Amino acid sequence: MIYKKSLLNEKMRRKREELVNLGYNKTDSVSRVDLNFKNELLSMPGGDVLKLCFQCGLCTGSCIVSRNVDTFRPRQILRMVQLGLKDILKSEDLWRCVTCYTCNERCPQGVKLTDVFTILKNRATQEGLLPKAMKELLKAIHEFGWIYEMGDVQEFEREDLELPDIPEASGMVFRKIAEKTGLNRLLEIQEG
Amino acid sequence: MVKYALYTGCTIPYRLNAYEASTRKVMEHLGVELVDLDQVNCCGLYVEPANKLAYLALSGRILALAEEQNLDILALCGGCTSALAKANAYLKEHEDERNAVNEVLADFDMGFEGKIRVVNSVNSFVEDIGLKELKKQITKPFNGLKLAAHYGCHLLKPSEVLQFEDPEAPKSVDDLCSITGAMMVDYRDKYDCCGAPVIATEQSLAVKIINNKLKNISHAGANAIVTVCPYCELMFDLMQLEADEVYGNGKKYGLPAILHTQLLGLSMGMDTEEVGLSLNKVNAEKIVEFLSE
Repeated sequence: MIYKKSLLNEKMRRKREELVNLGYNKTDSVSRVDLNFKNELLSMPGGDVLKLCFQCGLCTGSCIVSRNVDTFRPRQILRMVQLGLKDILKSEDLWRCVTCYTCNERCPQGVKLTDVFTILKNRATQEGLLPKAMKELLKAIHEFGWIYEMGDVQEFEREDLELPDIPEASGMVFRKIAEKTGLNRLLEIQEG
Repeated sequence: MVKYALYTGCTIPYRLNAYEASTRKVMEHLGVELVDLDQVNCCGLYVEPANKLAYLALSGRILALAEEQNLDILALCGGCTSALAKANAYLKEHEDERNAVNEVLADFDMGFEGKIRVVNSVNSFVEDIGLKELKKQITKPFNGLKLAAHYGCHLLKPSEVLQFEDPEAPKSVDDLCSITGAMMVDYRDKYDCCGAPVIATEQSLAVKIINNKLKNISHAGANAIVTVCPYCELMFDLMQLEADEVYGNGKKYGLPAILHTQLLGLSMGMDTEEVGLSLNKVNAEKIVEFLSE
């Protein structure tokens, strides 16, 4: 497919705009390098393979989200991590991955991109950057045990289909696990 | 005899009871015993992005519940299948995390050992029960029904964990549905994701993705779509109405999306009510016209 020059320019302009919105411009991106961030990620389980990425771009070429969202480029996200550009944690793109694992399967260097995304999302959550919609879901599980509150509609439907009662999800179990693993604390950080 | 601990998760009881009903009936018909687990909890799929340890503990507890009964888990949802299978593999391999999870589970007087498997309904039909055995039960095959299969990413990938089949060229769902007499049609970008995982954070993106799939399936001339995972099913069925609204310009796809267990049930002679066909949002009753007498 041959891009019209004007279209390509438009895409580049938009990408540049997004990077500037994230706090980057040509002059100061080097000063934003955070080697601690880079080393921390490299030391996490699944993080060590990050350095194997040689930027071939098969991930982006395979990505269904990249095909639909101009700014979403897994290859670029990996490069930013390799360089220690910590501001990647603030990018909405982190939460756009559909976790389809296509890049994970195809990477010729064995980089488990979906796992890298999980690491980045976990780190972003620690910084209080969990998206609101995700936080709502977690709070629902905290309250009801499931992401939904089951009610009469479900009961009646199941009765008609001769299904047993909905298994009682223990909200208590979730709350206990959330407390012991520090998830509660993370949610409070968001609230605070 | 094949026997499993059934884990239905949250989305099936809340929005897709037809899946559970058709599965239970098909399994009963095949002589497969399903044991319901008591005091289950959420699989942790949505918790993983926020805190991996909490996710591992949640999935680990479900695995431990089934281990207590020495049963493999039959998970119907793609999200649950992948969450449980990944946690199972991860906890077996990573001692530090396993110890951390077992410390949490000790509060419930439980522990993860890693001695059971996690299977999905398609794994079960293809590997545990066998298509040969299944085919013997097809008494009312479909005739002339053109079906487009959607596999569901989390039933195949990550392939090193699920160890089911080649995710670049899977054929299990096509093989499975073929035995009901349906003609399987291929379509462009068949193995693409349905978009469901981003529906909570970015619905417009999810609808854009499902619209592309619907467009390609429509071009291929299929009468209906067959799915495995409840999230995919909801995208193809419920969200098809949204795709009609956003991209249809007044036109509707009108493509029924049914679950593989509904398809199997019908071809085994069950009636539409037994498999909950009327609960589908896009009218799916018309596929019954393709059943032979």
